[in-house]
Amino acid sequence: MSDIPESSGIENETPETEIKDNSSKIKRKNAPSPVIEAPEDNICIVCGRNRKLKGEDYCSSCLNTMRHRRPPVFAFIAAFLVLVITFVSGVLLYLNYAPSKRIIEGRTAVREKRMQDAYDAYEDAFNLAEELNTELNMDAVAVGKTIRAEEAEPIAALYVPYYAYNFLSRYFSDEEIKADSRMLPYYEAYTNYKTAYDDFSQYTTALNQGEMKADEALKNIRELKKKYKDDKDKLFWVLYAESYVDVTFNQAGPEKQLEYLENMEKTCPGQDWYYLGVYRDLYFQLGRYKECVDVCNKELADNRNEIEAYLTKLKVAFINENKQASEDIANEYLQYNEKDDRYVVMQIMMNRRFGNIDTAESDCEQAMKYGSGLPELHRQKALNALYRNDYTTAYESAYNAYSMAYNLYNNGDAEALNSALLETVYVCASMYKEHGDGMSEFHSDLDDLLSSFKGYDAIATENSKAIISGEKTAEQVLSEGAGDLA
Amino acid sequence: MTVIYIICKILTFPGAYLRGFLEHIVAKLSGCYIESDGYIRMDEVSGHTDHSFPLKKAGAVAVAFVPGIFHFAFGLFLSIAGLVPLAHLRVEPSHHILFPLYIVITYIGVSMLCNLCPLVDDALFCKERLYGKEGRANLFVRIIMFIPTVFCVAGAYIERYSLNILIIGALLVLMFIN
Repeated sequence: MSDIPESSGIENETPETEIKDNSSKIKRKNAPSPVIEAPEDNICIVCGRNRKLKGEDYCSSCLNTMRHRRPPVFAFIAAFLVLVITFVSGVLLYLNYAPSKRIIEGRTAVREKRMQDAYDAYEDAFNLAEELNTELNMDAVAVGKTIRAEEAEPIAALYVPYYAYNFLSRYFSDEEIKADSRMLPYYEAYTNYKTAYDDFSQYTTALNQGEMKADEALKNIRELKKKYKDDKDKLFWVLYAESYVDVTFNQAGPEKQLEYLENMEKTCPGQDWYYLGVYRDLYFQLGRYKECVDVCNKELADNRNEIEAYLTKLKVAFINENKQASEDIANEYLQYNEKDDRYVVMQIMMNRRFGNIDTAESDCEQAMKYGSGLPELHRQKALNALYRNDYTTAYESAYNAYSMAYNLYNNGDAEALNSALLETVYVCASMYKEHGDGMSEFHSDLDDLLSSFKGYDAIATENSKAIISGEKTAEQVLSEGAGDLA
Repeated sequence: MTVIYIICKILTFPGAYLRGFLEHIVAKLSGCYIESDGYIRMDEVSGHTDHSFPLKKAGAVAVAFVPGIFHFAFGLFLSIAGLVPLAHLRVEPSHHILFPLYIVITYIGVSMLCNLCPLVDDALFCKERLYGKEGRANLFVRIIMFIPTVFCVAGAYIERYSLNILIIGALLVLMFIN
């Protein structure tokens, strides 16, 4: 406390100047400012009993009390408590930083239609919180399950809308899902699918078990179309089942598939999550490249992370012998995605396709030095080796790619074992068996692997057949057209 | 108006009490007389300390600004620490320890942000000491302190009419809506 002398300099200041007055502002505000000082104005403004000291507004007793008035002990305790709470808050804020950052990134990615990035970011947020809690052995970081409702949007965009319901149902009851306008569409998508599936699954199951012929199943499924003719959302699944049965069991060609698809889109519009991907593959197979690129662009407008759309566009650029367009596609990928292994894959494909196999190989080696877990990178390594007629490396790399993809498939990635990978494994294993030196570390697995491809030669692509039969070299196949086996 | 002011101070009592305490400390260090006990009172000084005007310019500036600066720093930090998990990570009441803890942290932080500014009298006194015709501060100080003083005086009026509660309440609602 600073001691102020009783004749505290006030006398030396101009007493009529309010700003330099040493009296209480509240008391002064309420008090009139008389021109002539009345006797009662000599009374202390605090106690109202004693006379004021000279040059002061207070009596000596009040002045003494005011000068020694300390803050209450409780105020010090309260301030100390606030300091403790601030410290705890700092620790919690530090712990919450990483999950919060990932959630912000997830929301940004959803806004920018980078659905894979969004999904990864949301999952990271939950994983980070769990890891921190495990490390600390206490529940110090919490991420509310409402965030799961946000995460459903990228899941629905990446997979099938009803997958989002399956995902949400792990965290919410049906009542909670139905009550939330954000989650309700996923519930409806699921019930539509479930109702239709319950009707047609008996036929597809019987077909898979060989208890029914495809034509009979198709006839029954077509009967269901009448049942759901007024309910487009359920009718979509019946049409899907019809197309699936005809394509899978009657080996309907891409023209017939396209016919089914166009009919489905006409009858049940608004299911772009399915139509665009299938249109893309069919147009590519049928050589309708302009339409294929248009569909790819539509897909990319919905999801900037859709790697298959970039790769298909890249293959179209290869077919058109347009190196500049292929570079533009790689740059477009970089605009919305990180410079990751997928970008390296695109660079490898471009370099190999346009004759720079050395660069393609060094890019591949460079990327794999950091222990990539991307099967596609191993597949590219296998194709590079195939290009060089190094069948042992080609087989080993294809084997590694297959093992990785198989693990991913078992962990729920349905697209991990795609046709391009199977084609590569089939060709590399076949070529290793015919021309390999038998020194591969996976040599003992060769027969088992090839036996799993029994009958594959019937569905293998022309390029694969040409390489295996020796009609064309791998170098020829990989440096012309789409630059790939599939 | 005083009734609304007092209600707001009671609603934000942690911040109001701490503001009064800090003002008490700063006023005492500035050589003011502390006229009455209690920081939460049923008058227009509620949330502040009833003190005489400081004699020196530095004292006037300190009484007007120092408690507010402390409150702004701590209040903002606590508000962020509480609102990030509540509005951003969407921590729910089912988290029996963290949820109430974050509510308390947010409440203290927001209540401190609701008690940033001095009394209008203190703010005007500070302005007079810096820019008044008699004994005003030197040019450098006047330039440096111009914007803070404007904010201080405007904030003091906003707080007197409890508009700050409305502003902070609207910001909170926006945070939870988004």
